[in-house]
Amino acid sequence: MERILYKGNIDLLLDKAAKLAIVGSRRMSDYGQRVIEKWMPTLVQRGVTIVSGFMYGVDQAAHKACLENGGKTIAVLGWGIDMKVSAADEKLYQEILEVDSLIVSEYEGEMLGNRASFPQRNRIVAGIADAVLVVEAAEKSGSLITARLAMSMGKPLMAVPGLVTSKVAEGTNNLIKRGKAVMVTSVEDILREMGLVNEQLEIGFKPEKMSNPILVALESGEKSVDELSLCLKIPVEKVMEEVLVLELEGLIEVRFGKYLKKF
Amino acid sequence: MACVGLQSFPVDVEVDVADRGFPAFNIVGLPDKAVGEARERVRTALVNCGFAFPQKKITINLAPADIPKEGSAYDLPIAIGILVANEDIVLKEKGLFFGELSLDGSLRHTRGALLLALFAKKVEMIRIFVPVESANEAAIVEGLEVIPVRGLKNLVEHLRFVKRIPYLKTINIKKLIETAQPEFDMAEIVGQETAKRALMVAAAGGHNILMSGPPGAGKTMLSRALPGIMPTLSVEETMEITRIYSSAGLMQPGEAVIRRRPFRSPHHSISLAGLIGGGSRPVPGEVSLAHLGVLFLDEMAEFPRSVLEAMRQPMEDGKVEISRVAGRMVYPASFQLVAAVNPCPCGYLGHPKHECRCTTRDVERYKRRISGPILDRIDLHINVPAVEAEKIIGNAEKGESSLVIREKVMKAREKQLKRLTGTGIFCNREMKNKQVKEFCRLDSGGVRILRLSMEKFDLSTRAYFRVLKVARTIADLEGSDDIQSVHLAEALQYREKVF
Repeated sequence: MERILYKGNIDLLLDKAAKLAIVGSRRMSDYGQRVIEKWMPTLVQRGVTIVSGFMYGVDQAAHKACLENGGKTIAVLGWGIDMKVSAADEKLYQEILEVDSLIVSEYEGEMLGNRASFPQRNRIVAGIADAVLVVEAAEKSGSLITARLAMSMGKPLMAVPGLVTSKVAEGTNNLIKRGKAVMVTSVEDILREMGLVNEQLEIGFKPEKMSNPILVALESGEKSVDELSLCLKIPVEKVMEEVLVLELEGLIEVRFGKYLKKF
Repeated sequence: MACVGLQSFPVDVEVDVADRGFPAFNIVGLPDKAVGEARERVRTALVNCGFAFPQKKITINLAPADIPKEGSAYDLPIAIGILVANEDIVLKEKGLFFGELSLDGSLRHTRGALLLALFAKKVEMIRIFVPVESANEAAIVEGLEVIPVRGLKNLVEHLRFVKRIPYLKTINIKKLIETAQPEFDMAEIVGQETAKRALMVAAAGGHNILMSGPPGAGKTMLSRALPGIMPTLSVEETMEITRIYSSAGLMQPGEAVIRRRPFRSPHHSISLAGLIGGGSRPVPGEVSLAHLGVLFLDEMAEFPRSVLEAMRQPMEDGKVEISRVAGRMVYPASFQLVAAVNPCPCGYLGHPKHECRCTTRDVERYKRRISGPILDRIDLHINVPAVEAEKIIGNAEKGESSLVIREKVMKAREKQLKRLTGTGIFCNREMKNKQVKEFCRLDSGGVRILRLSMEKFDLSTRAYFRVLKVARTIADLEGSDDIQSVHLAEALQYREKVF
C-alpha cells in the first residue's frame, strides 16, 4: 500500500489507545445488536477505540454504539474516500466527523466498492486493530476474511458464540470450535484478551429493585405483556401500566412486543 | 328507474309497435351492452311463454334519452310494454316494473331492488313488481306493496286478474339485526389478551388500529372478530349499508338486509378504482363496501403507495367523491381501518424460533412504505407476537365472548355520545384537537407521566393528541369520568411505534 486517505482526526491511528476491530454480518440479528449494546459502554469507558468497516449490520451497529457512549471510532471504507454515502448512512458519516473520529480509505475519489475492494479493506481493519472481535458471521463471509487476516498478522482473534440454529452464528461458532478464535462471553473476556485488566476484579454494581414482580419475571428472559399477565396472574391492562412505569424509569425496554430487562 | 351512484331517477320505457316498415326490434336511449341485449332475452322469453312476438317494427325508447342506462332491470318493463302494445294484456293498475328475464320467462335476482323501493316511496308509487328473489330487499321499505314475481306467466295472470299474487308484508329489520350472531367470537381466540383488549378499545372509540407481528400470530383472526364487538347496527345504519350492497349487486338472492357490520379484506393487488370506487361505470369501492364496518388491509406495506394515499380523504371525511366525465358521485365510506403488517419483509424479525433473513436495509426500506399521513390516522399501534403454544396450553382460560365485550363497548359509546352532543361528531376518534383539549383533561400525575413519555419516546404533537383520545376511550370503557393515570399508561402502550 502506498498511501492512505482520510477525513477527520488522523491522530487516532497512531495514539496509544487500544484498538478493537468489531466485525460481523450485514444480516445481524437482534442478538448481535444486544451483545454490542451490552459491552460497548465498558469498552468505551476503558478507552478502547472501535475499528470497523462502515457496512450496515454489525459494522455500523458497532460505530453507532461507540459514538452513543461517547467513544472514538475508526471507519475503514471499501470505496473511494469522496464517494457520497447513501442517505441512510449520511447521519452516521457526519456524526463520525463531528466528534473528531476518523474515516479512512485507500481508494481515491468517488470509486465504487467492488468484489476486490472489500476484502482489501478488511486487511486494513485487521491491520489497524490490536485485536479482532467477530460478533456474528456466516460461513464464507467477509468477516471471516478479516478473521483470517488477523490470525496471519498474529493478532488476538475473538468470537461471540451464537445459537447453533442460526446461520449468522455458523462462522463464529466454527472459529471457536476449531480453536482459531477465543470464545468471549463477557466484556471482561475481551479486556483480558487485550491485556487491559489490572488483575483486581471490579465489583459489579447491582443496585436493582428486585421487589418488582415484573422485573423478577423478566429475569428468565424476554416476555410479552400476555406472558407477563399469565405468569403473574394480573390482567393485561394492569401489566401495561406497570411496564410503562418501568420503561419510563429506564429499567426495561420493548422490542417487537416483548419486554426485556436493560443491563 | 336508473341509478347513478346511489342516486336514482325515473326512466320511462316507451314501446312503439309500428305496422309499417321492416320487422325490427330496436332499443334507443343510451343503452349499455346489458340493456341492448334485452332484445334477445325479451324476445325469447315472450315466445317461450307462449305469446306471439309481433313481426312488426318495434322501437323502445328509454327516456330521458341523454342519461346512460345500464343493467338488466329493464327486461321486465320492456316485455310488459310489448304485451300491452300487442293488446295481450290491459294495464289496469299503476306500478313500477323491474327485473331481469331469463329465457324461459322466469325472473332473476336483479341488483338495485332496494334503491327502486326507496325511489318508489319517494315518488309515492305504492306498487312495485320485482323478481321474487329480490323482493325481500324491497320489502324492508315501509308503506309499499311489493309484489314478488316468479315469472312472466304469473305476472300476466296477475295483471289479467286470473290469479292475483299477494304482496309481501313489510319485513321487521330490527328483529333481523338483533338476532344476528357475530360471525367470529372473541372467546374462540386463545391467548393474545393484549390484542383483544386493544380491539375492544378500538371498537369503543371507533379508532383505527395497526397490528404488527409475524405470520401466523393471529392478526387476521383477531380482526375478523372486530365487527362482532362493535355496537349493534341501528335500523338507519342497516338501510345505508344495504343500499350500497344492493346497488353493487352484492345481495344474496332472498336476502333482505345486511344484518352484520361488513368486514372487507381486499388483497394487496387491488387497484385504485377497486378500493375507492369509480370506473367508467360507477361502482362502490371497498372503502364504501366497508361503510360502518371494518376495512382490513392485510400486509399493508405491500399495497401500492398510490392506493393507500387515496384512502386519506375517505378516512378524514367518511365519504368518497368520485369525479368522472359522466358526473360526480358521492359514496359513504365511514369505516374502521384495521391494518396488519409484518415486522420485516420475511416476517420473522423478533420471532423467538424463526430466524429473520432480512438485512437492516431491507427492514428500513419496508417500513418506509407506509407514509406518515396514513400512520397519523391510526390511533392504536400494537404488536401481536407469535404465540408459543407451550406457554398457552393448559394455561389460558377461555376469554370473554363477543357479546359481553359488545355490551361494554356500547356503554362506552353511550358515554361518548352524551359528552359529544352538539359537536356534530359521535365517537372519540373523530375529536379534533380543540375537543381533545376540552374533554381530555389530565390530573397532575397524568400530566407528569405524559410529559416524561413524550420525552422518552420522542412523541410528536400529533401522537400526543392521539394518546389522549385513546386514553379518553379507555376511561369511557372503565366507566370513569376523569382520565386517570392508569388509563393514560395503557394508552401510551398503544402509541405509535416504528412497527
